[in-house]
Amino acid sequence: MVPILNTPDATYYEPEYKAAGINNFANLVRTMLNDYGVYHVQFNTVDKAVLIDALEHPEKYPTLMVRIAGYSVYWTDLSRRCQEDVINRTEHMF
Amino acid sequence: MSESAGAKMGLEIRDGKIAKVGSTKRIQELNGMLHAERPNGDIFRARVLTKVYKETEGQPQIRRRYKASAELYRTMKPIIYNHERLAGWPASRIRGVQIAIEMHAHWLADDLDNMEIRPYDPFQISEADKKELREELIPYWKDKTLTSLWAQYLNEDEVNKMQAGGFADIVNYITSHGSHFLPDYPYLMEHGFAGQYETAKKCLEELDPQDPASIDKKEFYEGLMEVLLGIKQLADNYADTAAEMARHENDPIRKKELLEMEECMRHVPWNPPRNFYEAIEVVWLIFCMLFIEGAGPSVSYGRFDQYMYPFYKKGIEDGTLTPELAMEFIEELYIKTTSNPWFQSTGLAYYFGGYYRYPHVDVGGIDINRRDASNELSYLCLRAMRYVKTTAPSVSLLLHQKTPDDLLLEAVKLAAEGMGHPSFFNVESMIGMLENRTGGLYGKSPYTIEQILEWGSPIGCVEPGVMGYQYGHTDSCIINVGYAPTLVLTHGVKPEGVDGYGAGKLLSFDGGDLSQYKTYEDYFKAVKDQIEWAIKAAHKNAIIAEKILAEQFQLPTYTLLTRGAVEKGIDAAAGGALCNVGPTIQVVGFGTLADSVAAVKKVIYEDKAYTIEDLKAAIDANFEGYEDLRAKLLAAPKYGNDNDYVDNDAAELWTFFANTTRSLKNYRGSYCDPAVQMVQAHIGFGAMTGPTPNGRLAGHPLADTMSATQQADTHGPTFAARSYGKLNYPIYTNGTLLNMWISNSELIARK
Amino acid sequence: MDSNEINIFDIGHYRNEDGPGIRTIVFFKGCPLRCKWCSNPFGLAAKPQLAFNENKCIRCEACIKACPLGCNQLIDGKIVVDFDKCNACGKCVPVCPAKARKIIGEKVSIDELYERIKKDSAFYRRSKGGLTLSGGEVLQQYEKAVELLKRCRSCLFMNTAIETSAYGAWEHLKALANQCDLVFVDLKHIDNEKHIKYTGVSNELILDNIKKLCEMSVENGTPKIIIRRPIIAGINDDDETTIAIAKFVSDLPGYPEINLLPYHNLGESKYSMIGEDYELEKMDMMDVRSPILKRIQDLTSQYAPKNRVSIGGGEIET
Repeated sequence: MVPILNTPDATYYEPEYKAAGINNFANLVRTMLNDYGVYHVQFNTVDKAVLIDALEHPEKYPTLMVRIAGYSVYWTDLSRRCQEDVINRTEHMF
Repeated sequence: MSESAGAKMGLEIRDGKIAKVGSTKRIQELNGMLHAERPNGDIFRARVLTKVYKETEGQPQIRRRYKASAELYRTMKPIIYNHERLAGWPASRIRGVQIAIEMHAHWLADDLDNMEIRPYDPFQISEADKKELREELIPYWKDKTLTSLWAQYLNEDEVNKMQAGGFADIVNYITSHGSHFLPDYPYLMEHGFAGQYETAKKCLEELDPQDPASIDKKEFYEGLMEVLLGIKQLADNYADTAAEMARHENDPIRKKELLEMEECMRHVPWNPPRNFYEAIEVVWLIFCMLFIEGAGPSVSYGRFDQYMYPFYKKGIEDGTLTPELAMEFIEELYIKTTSNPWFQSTGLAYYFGGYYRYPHVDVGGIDINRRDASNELSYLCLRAMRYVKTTAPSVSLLLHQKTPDDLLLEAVKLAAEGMGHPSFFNVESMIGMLENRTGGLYGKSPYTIEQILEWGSPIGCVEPGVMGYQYGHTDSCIINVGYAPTLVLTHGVKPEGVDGYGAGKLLSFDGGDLSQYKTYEDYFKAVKDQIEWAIKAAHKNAIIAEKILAEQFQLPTYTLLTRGAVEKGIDAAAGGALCNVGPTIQVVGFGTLADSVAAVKKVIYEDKAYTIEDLKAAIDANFEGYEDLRAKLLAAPKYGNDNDYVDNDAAELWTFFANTTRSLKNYRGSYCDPAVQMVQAHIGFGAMTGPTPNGRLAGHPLADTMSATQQADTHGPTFAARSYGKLNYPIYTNGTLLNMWISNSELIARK
Repeated sequence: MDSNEINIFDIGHYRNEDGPGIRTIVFFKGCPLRCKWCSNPFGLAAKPQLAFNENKCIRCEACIKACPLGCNQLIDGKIVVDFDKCNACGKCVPVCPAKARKIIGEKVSIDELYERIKKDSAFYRRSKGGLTLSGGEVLQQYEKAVELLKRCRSCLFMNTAIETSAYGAWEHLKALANQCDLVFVDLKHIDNEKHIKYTGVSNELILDNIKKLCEMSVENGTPKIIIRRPIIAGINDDDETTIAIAKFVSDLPGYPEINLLPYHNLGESKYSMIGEDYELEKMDMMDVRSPILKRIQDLTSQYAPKNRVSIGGGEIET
């Protein structure tokens, strides 16, 4: 059903997706809505500004989680070096 | 929309970071034009309204309002920019908004000088316009605004409490009329406005002058016909301008486009559209008109992929349309939709800042036979947003058991872009809500199941509606339920040192001595009493405004786009729709409420570590000197972790709120609808809220929407989902909103 | 310890890696190996431990008062824990307002674990996901692990997996593998001396068990075997090692998939939380797109042409 599009002037390039993450996300939505009856959900991705603030004030973000290399880790459980790494990656990847 | 879209865009403009993005060069240019402008106010509408009202002093109210709309359309100057294919702008500049003088005149003078530099949602207004506003327009209207008229019914303390107390609030309802609407696009696609003109003409001819009701109906039909001719004139004016520009155009391609635009505007919206181009032009021009006539947010496109698909299919089949061209039109529609900021009072901008006007477009869903309804346009609408990257409209997937996996994955790919699009809606729950909408505790909505299946879709954020069959503000009253556990302890008094009106004064009512709360059930009941008080306080004051709206704030264009209203001879604001939604009542701070009662249950009544008097003292001191008590409150079980200890009471309060709201009758006879939405209100209302028994300090944000308290859902999304899954959705007849977080890096390996 | 209890240190929900679909991962506590790069040092010791997160500490000194053994001291404005003296009694945990302390390691009955795993069953069903037992080392508590896996398979028809070093008796490993759809087995170094140097144990048993696992997989048609190579710069990323491992794997029955896991330093901060030193020289995370990985992948494919070579923990095909 997806029409094949020919847009030579487009500014957009489809990124390389992580199949497992995309599929699990889709199934999270399916389960939550189709199985549990939740009416609506929308998703945010973490804001870089929050991460920068969290670098200086980790106490404000006790359960802030970041995911890198495919698994979750609490922000405050990371060394500062790693935190800076995450922020750099965030900037790079977004 | 969760982020303050406008402010964010503003920042990005200043940073020069927004690229000209889109699928074609044309879209990239149009996107560039959009982002080069700052939000600005236009006084054309205010000027016309004032002129007509001054000329018609003493005449029937409906005649005055209908004449004003007709005059607006007749005299609006057409604007066509280079690269545009869709004609129509609701204001004289890009990112412009018509200042609804009859909503804002009572406060506008105070803030006019500040308008460009106010911290939330600044607007540009020219010096000449400011002068005209100050000297001509505001003086005429300042005692005639909805808020001014409403305030005549109340004492000053109540007027202030209802607008800035921070517990029960109706300010949104009394500052925006003409809002929250799914216009009857299916009708226009079939009949055009000519169809409504014929209906009005016929109804006028058939009026029986011996029938007393014919007196008002004659005004109604004559007024409508004048408005309809005004709409025809507006399109003709655009056609003339396009023709004139084509004459002076040297570029043969652009010349051809302008001539096509002329042909299009000569035909629609008066006649039904003949192709995809004309159909999407109708969609956009109607949107403009609703923003010229109405003052409020959340006019929505509804099930665009359904009513547009016949035109798409025909165009592909006869070779006049390609998927790329269809997507280019959709991207242009998105850019133009984003161009419309929402003009709010300075006070309201603090709570709802971000300019966002909550337009909404939906794809997917099921058809009247309960089969999957998705088509190529469903995919294109989602795909277009990835290319054009605008904040509006809010793109949504109507998800059901039969939604194809590749459509869901198309939506997930859009989510991976990190823009907050799309929203996911559960069709089954929406059908349940619509079956109950305005029906009260023991009744049903006026909708048939076929109407719901065919045109049911969300409005604005999340509010369910049926396209063309429903009118009414769906974002009306706010109840800060997070305040209730505190107000039980403070005997209804708002704590000192927080924002808004009335710190240190009685905000709700005194439930009596704390010693009477011997068990947790006693305390829980007292919390419910506070919530019930707030619901009833907001309701009784909002229905006053509903009466004023019905009597004095008619909406001819909304009426024309409400199925059956013309035949009935009743304006949409006065109850012309099949389903008339009265002031709705919304929850803010649900997670704060759930966590607070659970913390009291655990620390005070179960562990008996402290007494309720200790808790009151700690609340009075904003927990200063009560660090151990606060630590224990913070350590109590939290909503959002699939823990029945919290979730069961949360679910009971959830149902209690809905049932209390749905038992209340509105001015026009329908029952009140509850919702959980109020996207950013948790910050503004948090600032007005004293410390809460979940350990939250005074002034801090409340839990947003129906989500768990920030950082309190420690077991990940599946556990949070199960907590949310314990709640009853179809009883929230005005919708629920949930924010969750998923890391981008989980979804995308490489850009 | 009660025979029905499993010693674990964490449960992860909604995980995308270590098996197909949405997964729950149970981390078993206690490991016979001491890999220098271990990213999960909380799983090493079998006994419970105190973990103290300096980042969260607000220096209120409540822990000093709470400790009966006097393990906490304020030195130069910082709380310092004497981990040698600490017996993980846990008295300092609830008093910490910043939640900077926790006891690593809890004993959970198989019944309770099963109930917790079951909670996400709607998500497993939608996504064809399931349970992965990780560690630490699951082999050390294999009898109870087998019970847990068996129950998840027979009652919920879940997809099950284990992640193991294969350092244990074959009969134990075989019992576990019999209850799995998928077995991840680590191959950390092919050179025995280096294996002993960097992990503390010989690889002879491990290599032998890998062979037996692959034979079993071919014979029964299940479980699928995936051989995981952690890639640590300067330790096992040289061509010689890669070629030797590729040759070893290409000789295995069934041509098992080789999964390359680039080194990450996310576990580094956890060492100081339990009073241990991170012995590995500080190095940066290895990007999944690094040329070193690409070279290892290509070289492996060259010497093991019939084996799939994947990169990263989330790229599991089933």
